[in-house]
Amino acid sequence: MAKGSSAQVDKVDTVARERLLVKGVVQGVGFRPFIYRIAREEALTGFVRNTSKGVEIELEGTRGQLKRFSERMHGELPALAEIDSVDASELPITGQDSQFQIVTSHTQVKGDVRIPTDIKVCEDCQREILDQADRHYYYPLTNCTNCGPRFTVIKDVPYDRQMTTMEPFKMCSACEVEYMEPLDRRFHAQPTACPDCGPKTKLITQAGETLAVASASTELRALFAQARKLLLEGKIIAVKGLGGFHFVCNANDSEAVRKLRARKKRPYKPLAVMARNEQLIKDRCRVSAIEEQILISTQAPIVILDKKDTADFSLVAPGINTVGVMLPYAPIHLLLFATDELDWLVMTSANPSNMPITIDNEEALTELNSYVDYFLLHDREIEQRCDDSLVRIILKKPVMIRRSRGYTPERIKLPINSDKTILAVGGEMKNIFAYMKKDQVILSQYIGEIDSWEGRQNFIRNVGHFERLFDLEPDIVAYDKHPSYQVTEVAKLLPYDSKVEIQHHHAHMASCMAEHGLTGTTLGVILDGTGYGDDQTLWGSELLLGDYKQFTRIAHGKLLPVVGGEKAIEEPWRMAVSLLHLSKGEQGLRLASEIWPDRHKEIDLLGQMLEKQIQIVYSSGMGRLFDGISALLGICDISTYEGEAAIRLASYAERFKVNSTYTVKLTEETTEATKIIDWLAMIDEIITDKLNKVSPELIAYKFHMTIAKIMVDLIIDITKNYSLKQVVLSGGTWHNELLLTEVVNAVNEAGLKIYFHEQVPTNDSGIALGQAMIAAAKIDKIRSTS
Amino acid sequence: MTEKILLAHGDGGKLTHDLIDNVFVKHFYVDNNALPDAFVADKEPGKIAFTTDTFVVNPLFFKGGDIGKIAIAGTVNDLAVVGAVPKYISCGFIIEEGFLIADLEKIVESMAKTAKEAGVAIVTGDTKVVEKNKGDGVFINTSGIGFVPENRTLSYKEIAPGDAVLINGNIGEHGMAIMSERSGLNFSSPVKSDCQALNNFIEKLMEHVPEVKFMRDPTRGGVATTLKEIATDTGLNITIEEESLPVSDELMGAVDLLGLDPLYLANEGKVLIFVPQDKVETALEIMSSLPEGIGSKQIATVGEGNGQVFLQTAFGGKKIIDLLAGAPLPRIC
Ligand SMILES: [Fe+3]
Ligand SMILES: [Mg+2]
Ligand SMILES: [Zn+2]
Ligand SMILES: [Zn+2]
Repeated sequence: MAKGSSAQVDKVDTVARERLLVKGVVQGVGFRPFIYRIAREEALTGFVRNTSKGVEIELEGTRGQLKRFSERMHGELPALAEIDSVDASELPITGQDSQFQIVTSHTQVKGDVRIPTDIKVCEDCQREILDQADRHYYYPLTNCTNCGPRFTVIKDVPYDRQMTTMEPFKMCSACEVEYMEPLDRRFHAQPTACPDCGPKTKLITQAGETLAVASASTELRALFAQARKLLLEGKIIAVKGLGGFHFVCNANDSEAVRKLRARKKRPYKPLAVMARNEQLIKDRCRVSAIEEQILISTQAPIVILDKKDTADFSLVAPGINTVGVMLPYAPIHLLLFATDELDWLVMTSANPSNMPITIDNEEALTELNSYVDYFLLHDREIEQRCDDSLVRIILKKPVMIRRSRGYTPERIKLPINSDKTILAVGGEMKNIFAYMKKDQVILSQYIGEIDSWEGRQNFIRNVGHFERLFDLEPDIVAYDKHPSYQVTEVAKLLPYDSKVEIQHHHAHMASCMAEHGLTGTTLGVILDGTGYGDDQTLWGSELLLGDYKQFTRIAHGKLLPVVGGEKAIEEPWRMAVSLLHLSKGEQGLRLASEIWPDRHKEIDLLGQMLEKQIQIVYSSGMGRLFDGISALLGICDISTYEGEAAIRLASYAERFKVNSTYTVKLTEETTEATKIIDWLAMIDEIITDKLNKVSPELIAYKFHMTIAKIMVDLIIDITKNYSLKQVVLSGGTWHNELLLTEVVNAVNEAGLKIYFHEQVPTNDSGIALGQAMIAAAKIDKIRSTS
Repeated sequence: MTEKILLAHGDGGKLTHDLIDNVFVKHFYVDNNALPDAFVADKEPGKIAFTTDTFVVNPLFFKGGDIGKIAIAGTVNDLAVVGAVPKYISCGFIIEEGFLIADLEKIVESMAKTAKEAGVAIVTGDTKVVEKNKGDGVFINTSGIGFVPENRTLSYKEIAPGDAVLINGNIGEHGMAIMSERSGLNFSSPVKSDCQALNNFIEKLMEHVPEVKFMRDPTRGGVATTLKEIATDTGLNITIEEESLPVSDELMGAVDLLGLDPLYLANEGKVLIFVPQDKVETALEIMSSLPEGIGSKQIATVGEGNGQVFLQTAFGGKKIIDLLAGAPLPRIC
């Protein structure tokens, strides 16, 4: 000890040269100016530069200075920066440098650079945009090292201007001065621009006629005044945002919203809204402290909030108790709200139906002109499409419903380590794909539906982009075993060495385990729509016992007949007919005809199909049960957006409270020790309640409590029998806050650890992560990192 | 004659001869009582087209036709779509012991009638009887010979980007007719099979539009499968316009309920015709003027590509059309 400390004292004044390689989120977040400032303040000489392996720093000075530098680097790190690792090595002293400098990047081999996410416009930039005296006044593409586009404009690494979509725009001298000045807020802010040198802004009519082109601040101010006027007149504008176009209209204008809904053929789907400021949101929604934190975060996602009783959101979010709101995150939004004329704008992804969000100007003008009256756009290209993220706070935890802008491509640390690189292609709908390398996973932005040529092309293009950007060469590709998933088809065509087929609900389970860092035997309670099972039926109410490598289906919902394929999912009344028939046979069909008199012909045929087993598939999907009950109660006959029947059923349930449940029986399969959850008695009782004119709110609530109770009973029973400590919940049904809260609270009370999805969506956006984990586990080369 | 088919009807003895004389010869051979083992076509010009097909339809009788009508029309159509004028047909029967002779005669009559209307001769045949439960009533094989006029060359190799794909009316009706008969579903307005011979229709069209490049009958697997096969063969893309697909209201109602896709349902009286874009109007005019072509439409266009078929949906967005792998399972989660 004494020897060590004396040696240290001895060395404090010794001059040394150190090389540091810093990895993490260290590019595009003001890291180098920060290093520059503290190195100079500590009177060190040397340089800092970006490489594609990370930020490289060489420092020369006394041991004491070097030590203080290191402490300050970690202690005073800029808000958006994040250090993963620092590799330090000693170099011979040179005595060459006269001072500390920032050296411009040079390209090397690709490596572990972390591409930053897109960041909400910062307060300094906000101030400048609205300051008449500032040269950025009204400039809609203003940004700095603390804010602005990143992931959406980066074409390749290292993150330099020529690798972004700002490459065609030559900086003016004012911008260049800021860009070159290490202590400036815009030092090496790659997408920096101003009215003098940046992309122009245009207002164009539906017919493609340019109304205004603006670059100077005065022109811009006039252009935005005109855009606001159009919105106030009830016009719909396609506005180019960070990761794609939005359809924008005045949310308080019922005519405008109705028009947008009609054009988009979206009669009821909730539309996201953007409020001018936080106060407006608080006036109409209940906002908890944590919800507020997420709303104003640099990620600025859409946050699902409870409506206040006094607030009327029937235009944008009909039939439900919540509304998705966000605050302006790009300067272009701020400028639409620059005066107090507009309070709330509808901001919904702009895309032709079933297609990815539109990002290209030309495409917008030709493909979106039947939806909008005007276009508000600029010439900065969007390299990567990126939808708005969607977050809901449940049990005081932010839960990702759509993980995209602001979060992509942030990495997630995993509890296992793979020495193979794995591409997991994800699900067919709400697609997100994932790359696993070592003990980290990068999830792609929201890719959406793959079931179209455009969707498939978008998927393939993005996979290519990720591999280039992050220098990935997968050895293994993992995919869902559903025989008709397009995404699986594509995966099988990819030229990687190994291919692994993964069961849908096992992937759901593994996904939730992974995000919570769990290993070991776990009980997964997967309540989902429908996914392809190991026995060729469609699963969806599954209690799986296992780990990443394997699972057994320890209990599952009774199979229900789904008549006529996907039509039965799009039209929940068909599921209700199935339930009525299951419960009461012929009489059930007559009841169905009484409930839907104008469908009696179809009901007659559905009945024949059920009796004769024609075009029927069997599914244990919880989503299908929710659909059937929702339709049976007259809440939702036809689903106009995914999950509508279940979402609206939950809204009914939330209006009630009663302390009783329906009957659910557990039977055991003779061949195996698998428990079957038999819904029949519950369905019988619900039909009886309905016939006795019990209020649908009460039935809906009791139904929720019944599902919660049977799940809790099973969880407690199974964990006891198998001496388990941990339970995970996954699958789309767990978006249901009422159900989730009931189950989590009850299981917690029983002293078990229960986890639900937070960082990764519980819906099919989350399965890529699970697929990657399972593939890694199955390769047998896995080491535990803990 | 007995009422039912006996094993002895297939042994080549007396009963066989009785059956041939009383059922087959009576209906098939109009001007010639001979029963050749092989038929000699000795005065035909042109290139020979030769095809064979085996028919195992269940049920044997359905709305709009029966196995006999399909057995003739199917083979006639296979010849006609390659540009041949069908002339001679052979037919082989495999009959299950116990099959009603009255039913057999109905089938044979239907074959004779279809052949007559199509202007083809049934010139040779064969009959075998299998033990009860070793067959499904009756199976029929027909082979056909036709002759292609010297100057006529139809080939998928002629297909080029820009060409139009025409069809002579409503799609999917045979598949749905069979499906509903087989399942015993009672639709209030049932769909009839479109089963018909198309050789006269095709001949008329070729006469007026010799520019026709290629034809195929979209039978098993429907329009989707047939176009996918052609796209793969040519290496070109084919884009189907969803809104232009001729589908009857009855069929639409039925597929909607059953969760089926009319693009994949079989047709037995339809032909897909590839013509250059500038002949579309003329071709459709001729087609629509003929009874087999009521409701003719352009449904697709050929483009550059790599062998893909797309369905341009009414909403916007293109779906990829592929060969069907088993029964479609819902994918919505
Ligand atoms: Fe799922
Ligand atoms: Mg054939
Ligand atoms: Zn800023
Ligand atoms: Zn500038």
